[in-house]
Amino acid sequence: MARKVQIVCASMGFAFVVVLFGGIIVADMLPPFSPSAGAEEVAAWYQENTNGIRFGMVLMMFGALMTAPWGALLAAHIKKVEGEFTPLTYTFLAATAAGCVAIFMPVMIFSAAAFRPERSAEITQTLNDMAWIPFIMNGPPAITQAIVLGAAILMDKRARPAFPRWAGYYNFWVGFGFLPACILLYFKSGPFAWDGVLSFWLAATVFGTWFITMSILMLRALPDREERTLTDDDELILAAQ
Amino acid sequence: MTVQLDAPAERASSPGGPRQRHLPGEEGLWVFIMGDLLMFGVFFGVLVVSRAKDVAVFAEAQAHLHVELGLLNTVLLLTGSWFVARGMQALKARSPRRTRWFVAALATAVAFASVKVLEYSLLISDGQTPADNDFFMYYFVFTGIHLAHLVIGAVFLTVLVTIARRPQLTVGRFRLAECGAVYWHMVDMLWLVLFPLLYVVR
Repeated sequence: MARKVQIVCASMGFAFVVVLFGGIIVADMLPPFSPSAGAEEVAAWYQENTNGIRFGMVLMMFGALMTAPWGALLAAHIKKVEGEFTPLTYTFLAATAAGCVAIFMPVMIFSAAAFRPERSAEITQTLNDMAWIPFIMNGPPAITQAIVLGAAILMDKRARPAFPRWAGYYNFWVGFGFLPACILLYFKSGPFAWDGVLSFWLAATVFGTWFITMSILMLRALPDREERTLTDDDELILAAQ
Repeated sequence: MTVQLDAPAERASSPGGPRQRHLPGEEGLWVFIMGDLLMFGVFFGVLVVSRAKDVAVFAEAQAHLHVELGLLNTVLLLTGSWFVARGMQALKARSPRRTRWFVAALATAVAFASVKVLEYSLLISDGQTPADNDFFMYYFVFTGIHLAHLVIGAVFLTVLVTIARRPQLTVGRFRLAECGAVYWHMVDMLWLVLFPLLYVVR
């Protein structure tokens, strides 16, 4: 059973990327709506794409929670490295929970914005800012996850470590990749704005490939198949003719 | 227990064995180095493209930079890299002078950071801020990210000093020292691209 649970948890990384980016595309958020747009323009976008945004948000809402089993399996691997005393595991879990919220919360605000798109344009623009800013600026949970995971991978002194050592360094690099988005509050256009090359495109690429890479590595780290002990359920009802 | 550190030479002399090349640090570290270079490559590309769109503004803003301080910092980093390279040789040779090479490198790091802070304060008191135009936005953000790399490098150099001070050198500590040295050379190399792109290009 343990092996199957691990396969499901690890594969959630693939499902997350498909559902999250699928939701973003359905909501017509790729490329992202420019932060330099005026209130009327923002309101018009919500009025024209109302149902696409609503459906995209339902997808992304479920996508947000797909990061939980993915993070839980990584936490379990970190715990194996740490042994009995496990502060890194707890830090990673806390950051994973924060990471769920970091996606979930802006999705809820996008949903509220698309609920009454005919309201006055300034209010829609405010909701739009309240959603986009945390959605792109939310680096710290993922940065914490990446650094803690990277450290745990490099600390793994077992004869058969779960992950290759390059994965540790890779995680440190991933953490760096999320940094440019942290200064988006200062910009309404250019590479550091929330639709910019560095804040959005670089961070989104690093984020998506990180989930996929760690999913593949977790699938490679699966335990060997164990012999099943037979139970009552395995009793034959009909023998072969 | 003593371990032969200059393994390539040893392998080269072993009968029948092909000469293997030694990769400093460990393989995985290079994933980080290449990734970081890739990211800075994107930064450099963004800078060049934005500059081409608005050459006049960039040229005007660039004139406010203190080229001599930038050049001083370039010399400091190059000297620091040389100190680290000499330190690694001294570490391998168990030379009694090994620690002071790394202390000297650490001093160049502190000097670089001080010059950078002086430069920032000169620019800001001169009325040049990141909000003024695209050039200064890039200048402050990219040199700021580089400075953050340099601070991490300085922490690494402190680790190198403590490794050098220990009477015993183990395989693990030497590998860690190599990782630190490689990282420090990367910080140096990134500046060697950043400096001409920001200060010198016309």
